[in-house]
Amino acid sequence: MDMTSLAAPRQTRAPLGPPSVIDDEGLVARAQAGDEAAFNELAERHSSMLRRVLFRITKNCDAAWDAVQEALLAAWRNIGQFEGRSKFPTWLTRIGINEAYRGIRKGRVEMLELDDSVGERVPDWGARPDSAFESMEFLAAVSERLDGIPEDHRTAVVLRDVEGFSTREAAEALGIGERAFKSRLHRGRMALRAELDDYFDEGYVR
Amino acid sequence: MSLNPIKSHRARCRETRELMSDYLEGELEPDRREGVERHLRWCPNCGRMAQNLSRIVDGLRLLGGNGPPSRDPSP
Repeated sequence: MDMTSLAAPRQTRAPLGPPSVIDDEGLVARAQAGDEAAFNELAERHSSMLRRVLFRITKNCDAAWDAVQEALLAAWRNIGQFEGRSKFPTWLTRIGINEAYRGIRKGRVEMLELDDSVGERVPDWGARPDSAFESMEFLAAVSERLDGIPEDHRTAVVLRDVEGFSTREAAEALGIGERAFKSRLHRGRMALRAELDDYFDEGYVR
Repeated sequence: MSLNPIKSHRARCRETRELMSDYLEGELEPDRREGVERHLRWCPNCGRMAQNLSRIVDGLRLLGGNGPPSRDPSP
């Protein structure tokens, strides 16, 4: 590859070298200068995470795949507008979530209220060893029940707890404030807990 | 004003449950954290809820291939 033929960067000095050895910031600079290979490297690095998140939101392989493609196209078209205030994967995730929601949202956001059954007995999940809660069986139940909670809360849980986004990054990816994100996350976790009460009632975990 | 211990207890349960995620993530100010811990010590329902929530968060992190468990909810 003839590195001397790289176009002059519009914003920052684009680093030299093959895309695979350059960090995200450097690749963004090159992509903003028109370097498609740099953008493709960024896409390669972050599309798996994006696919996982969007699959959790859409619960459909084809819809998730479409949303990933649309998100990458939109990110490439708008790469010049990325100012680097958040990390690139956070920005890309926000675009992806918007694409996913575009495909599935029918009306206003469904907002969960916390279950107010404070007087009811909370089931005991049993005096099981900690290893029971790391078993494939339990994790499969968590994964399955996660699909059953409303998408906005599911997205918050997926970003923060499954994918490990920080609160700030996850809130940015959703385009909401941190306080609003924490509320959505907490409601999602509590809804998932309620779903798993049923699971333990059914006696699947020994 | 007469005290209604059941209403008062349920109000504390609601308040504690609202704060549970922040508590598990270590994001409460000291006085609020102490309030939650005090309540979890003597409310078995909320204690179980905090423990189950903690197990779920740990499970979700394992699903994502991430490591460290959430804080132990036992005060």
